[in-house]
Amino acid sequence: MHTERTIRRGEDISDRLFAVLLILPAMIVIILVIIYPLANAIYTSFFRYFLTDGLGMNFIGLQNYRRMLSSPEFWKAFRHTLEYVGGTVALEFVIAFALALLVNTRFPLKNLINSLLFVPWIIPSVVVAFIARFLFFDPFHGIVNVVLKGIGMIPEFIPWLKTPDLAMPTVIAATTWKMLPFMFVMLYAGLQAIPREEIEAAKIDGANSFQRFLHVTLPNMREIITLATILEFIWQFQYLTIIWTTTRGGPIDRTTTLPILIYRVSFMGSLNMGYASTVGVFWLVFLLSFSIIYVRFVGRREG
Amino acid sequence: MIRKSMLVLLVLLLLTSAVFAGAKKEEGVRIQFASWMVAEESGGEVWLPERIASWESQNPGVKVEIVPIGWEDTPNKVTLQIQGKNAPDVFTIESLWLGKFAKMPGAVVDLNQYMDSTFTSKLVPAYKGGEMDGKMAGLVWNPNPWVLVYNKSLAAKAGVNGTPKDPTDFLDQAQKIHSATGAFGAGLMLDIDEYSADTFHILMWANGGDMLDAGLKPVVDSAGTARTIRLVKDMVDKGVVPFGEEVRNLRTLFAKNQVGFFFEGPWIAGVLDGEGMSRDDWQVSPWPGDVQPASHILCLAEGSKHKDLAWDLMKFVVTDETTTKEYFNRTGLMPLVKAQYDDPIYDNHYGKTFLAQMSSLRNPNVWASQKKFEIEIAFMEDIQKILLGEGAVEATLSGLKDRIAKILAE
Repeated sequence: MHTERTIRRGEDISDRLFAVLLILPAMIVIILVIIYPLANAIYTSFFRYFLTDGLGMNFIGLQNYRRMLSSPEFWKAFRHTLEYVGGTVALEFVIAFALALLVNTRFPLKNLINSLLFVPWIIPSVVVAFIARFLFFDPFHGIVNVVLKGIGMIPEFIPWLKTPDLAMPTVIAATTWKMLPFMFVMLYAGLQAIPREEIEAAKIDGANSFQRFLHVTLPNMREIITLATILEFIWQFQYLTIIWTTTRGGPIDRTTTLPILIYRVSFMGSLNMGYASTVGVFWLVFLLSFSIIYVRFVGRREG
Repeated sequence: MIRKSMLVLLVLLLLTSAVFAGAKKEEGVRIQFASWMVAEESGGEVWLPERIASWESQNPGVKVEIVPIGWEDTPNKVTLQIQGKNAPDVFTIESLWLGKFAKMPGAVVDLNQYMDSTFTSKLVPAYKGGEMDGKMAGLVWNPNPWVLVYNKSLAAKAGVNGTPKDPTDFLDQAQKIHSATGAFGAGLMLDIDEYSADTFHILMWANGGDMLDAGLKPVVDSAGTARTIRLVKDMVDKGVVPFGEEVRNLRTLFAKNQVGFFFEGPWIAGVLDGEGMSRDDWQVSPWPGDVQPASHILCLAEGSKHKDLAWDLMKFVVTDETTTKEYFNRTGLMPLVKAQYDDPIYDNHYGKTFLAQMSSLRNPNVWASQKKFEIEIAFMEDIQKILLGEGAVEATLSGLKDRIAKILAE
């Protein structure tokens, strides 16, 4: 009996050790690539640290945080980020859901739509930005201008990316075009997973299509919608490429979001790593808090 | 048994990766030469590697690795490489970045140890464009003043000569081109970047304005700066100048006969060749006032393990006549060596205009500040605000002055 227990305990330890050894390489990578840089950034945020002045790191406590919280440029960038993310995720969700519902029916061109939808997904973001900037929204030759002027909606060509009130909606449109396929795939998969019996039962009970959508489709899609939107929110919050390539944060500072601000502060000019780390910490705390609250209130409630 | 085998296999795999992940051992000496002139369609991207190969043949056992770094990427990429202690031995910068690298600890070698009076006496005075606070931070490769470039057909249609005698005449000629042809009379860089802010100095100086004074105090709220901005706003409002354009787009617009004048340097010949514009369709003219330099400068990295060889390569690229002559033919970039200007290929309107303009070079005071980038971004954001009618001139410039003061105090 004692020998059997010893042998089983020995086997358990051996199993655990083996499991640890198997995940060790991945853990090392995670520590080096995620945990260490994160800890380093939090640490650096308490220091005055310009990479280019040769003065090294000087502890300044919460000064960077005070500067950030009292900086009009920071709050403007934060507001612009919320506009950008909110606008992009909302637009993607509405369009993707509509397309997913359409493709989920016996729609004749569904295979074509399915294929065309993936085109922006496979094009690199920089190329999408160039297409947006020089093909669609160019102030002299852009397709959007040509079409809108042609149908009489605008009297003159509009410099979309250089007009303060239009630049943000324009980059939102460009980003939506790029990221739409992901949202579509998630929502379409969710629609496909809805049990047909529930839909049939609702039909038998006399529910019309809107009622079926409200009481069958949406409740079944809650988890997938939560996942898709929170992922998109987190990704768009950090998205730099399209804005940087189209407007560089302009005109004036109308499309300067937090990623643009951090990029400028940390990788251009005097490379202020201390302040950039501070903004990064704020970013982390905000996204974590938002994700927790969002999932708790929008995601499926237990029991 | 199977688990133990898997464990052994895993450990072997990790060890094998670690062994082969090490860098291949290089034989001989390797020097890295970085420049955007080999990264872009500049006219130099074929010629430079050929000439560098020629230098290699004169230095057996030495291999030059040519590192293409795009112009926009250069200041940041090279800065990060310097901080990471893996900067190229020789890297190219432009005048506007000289202050940044000259003052960066551990960045560049003081070339005064290599450049004695025998050497410098053979150079045009613009070689001093590599100097900052007594340190020769770089060897000027091509002294590049800004000049006006004008479209000959647009100028002819408007009945102007393309050679304004003063800044008021410049505005007048630009207006006439716009009125006669519908094209933009002048392309000014008005994007939110350093280049736009630097070029703005040309017009500010013409009106007695500036960004910082010689003591690096902000003076953006001066009457001269305000006057300049009003003039530019007027031109933008009338459609004479396009709003918010950056340098590359302006070149494309110019090549498409949509811009009458714009400010450029000697590289414009190679650039417009790349845009498909014939050299017969445009011409250069001197700016009647001070201009900032946009010289291409070669720097020797402090971290270079082969400084003497790297210096020899730099000297070759800058002074070898076969190299510089064909380089001029392909790119329009002028040489640094005085005697080379005796060659008839420089004895034309193009060469003479740039040579003459070299006598009115002036460094913007902001170049001496390590916060140049931050200051100039703030500057252009507020310029755009005024140009778009979202801020009154004096109030915005007053706010900008405070903002610049805060940046300087950080």
